[in-house]
Amino acid sequence: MGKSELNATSLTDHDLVKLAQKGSEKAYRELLGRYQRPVFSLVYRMVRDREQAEDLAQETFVRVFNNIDRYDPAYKFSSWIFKIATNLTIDSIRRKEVPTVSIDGSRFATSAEDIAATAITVESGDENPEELLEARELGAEIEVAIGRLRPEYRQAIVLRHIEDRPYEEIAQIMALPLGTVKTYIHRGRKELQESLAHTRV
Amino acid sequence: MTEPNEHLQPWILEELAEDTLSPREKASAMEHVRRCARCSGDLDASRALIQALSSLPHFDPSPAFAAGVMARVTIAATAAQAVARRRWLPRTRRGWTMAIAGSLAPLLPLFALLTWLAGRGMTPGALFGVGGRWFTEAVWSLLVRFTGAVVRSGAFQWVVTTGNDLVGGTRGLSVAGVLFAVAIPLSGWMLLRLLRTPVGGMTHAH
Repeated sequence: MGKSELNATSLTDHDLVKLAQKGSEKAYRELLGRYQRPVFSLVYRMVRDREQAEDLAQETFVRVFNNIDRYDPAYKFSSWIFKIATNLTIDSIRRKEVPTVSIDGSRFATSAEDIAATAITVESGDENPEELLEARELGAEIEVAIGRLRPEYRQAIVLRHIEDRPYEEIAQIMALPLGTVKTYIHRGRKELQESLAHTRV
Repeated sequence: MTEPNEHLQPWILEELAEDTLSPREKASAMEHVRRCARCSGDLDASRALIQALSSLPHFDPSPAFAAGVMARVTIAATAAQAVARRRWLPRTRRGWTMAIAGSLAPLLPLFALLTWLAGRGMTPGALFGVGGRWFTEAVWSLLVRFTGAVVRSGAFQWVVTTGNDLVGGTRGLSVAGVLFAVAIPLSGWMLLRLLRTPVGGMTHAH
């Protein structure tokens, strides 16, 4: 491949897609490296089941990569991949009952190992053990509150405040008018504030 | 801090918390917030929530995640090129035997000729001399035939006449010489480019 591929990390998403379309495996791997955490996190926060989230996130990447030649450069690559991830996730949620959130692990977990594997772990950069514990407890409370939101509010809140996506991109991803997205985020935040009224948030 | 009768709209407070208002709108809203305990409290609550949400971590998939994805991905162009390459390769042992035999067949008459010449006392040096002379004569003959064909076709005469008309006098011959000196290498270069360009464009598997 060309010289540009040697510095895959410094290339834009569009450049990487072009290289991937020419058959560069390194470009595929770089795109995977860039998006596996955000995509998995979004899906995990939506379905609250690690195994299911891995399957859905994996299916997202497989669909995106196997259709890479159909990518429309008029849109952001991130919008495209998040759109596919959210569509798959919403379809999956609609097909079956959504598991309620538990910071202690999925309610489908049957063994101690499974419970540990599916538990939501909230880490913090604080080194003080008391602050660390407080941050973990607060983070866990927020995760629980997010998990109680309606799927569409949850999706909009996660994309806006955790994935830091602009409103316009969220509207593209969710295929909704901008006003509707703003309403979802407003209502989601209001519900979160009510749920977290007893905490310092 | 006083308590005004009117309060900021919720969307203004949210945009203030997200810092997405224009400087003028922000200044106006902050002016109100400084005087209004309720809006000030709501703004603090919105900011705290946004801060708490944005500090939530990303989750990592399992270490086998990337390998699992790549195992299911068909790298588009590579697949198409491999198919194109395989189309020209024999698929059976018999096919390979036929292909090798076919590619060696033209060498048999040459080998027979060399054996025959060696039997008549022809050394490799003498053979090279005969071949070289034959090649030079063939190239020279082709050049002469080509030049004759160009002159007979009238193209050369036309270029000379047009050159004379354009530059005046009898300098048309010089113009024709320059034109041919440029045109011959140029056409050779274009032919080379044409031969090096792949017949089909880049294709992708769907």
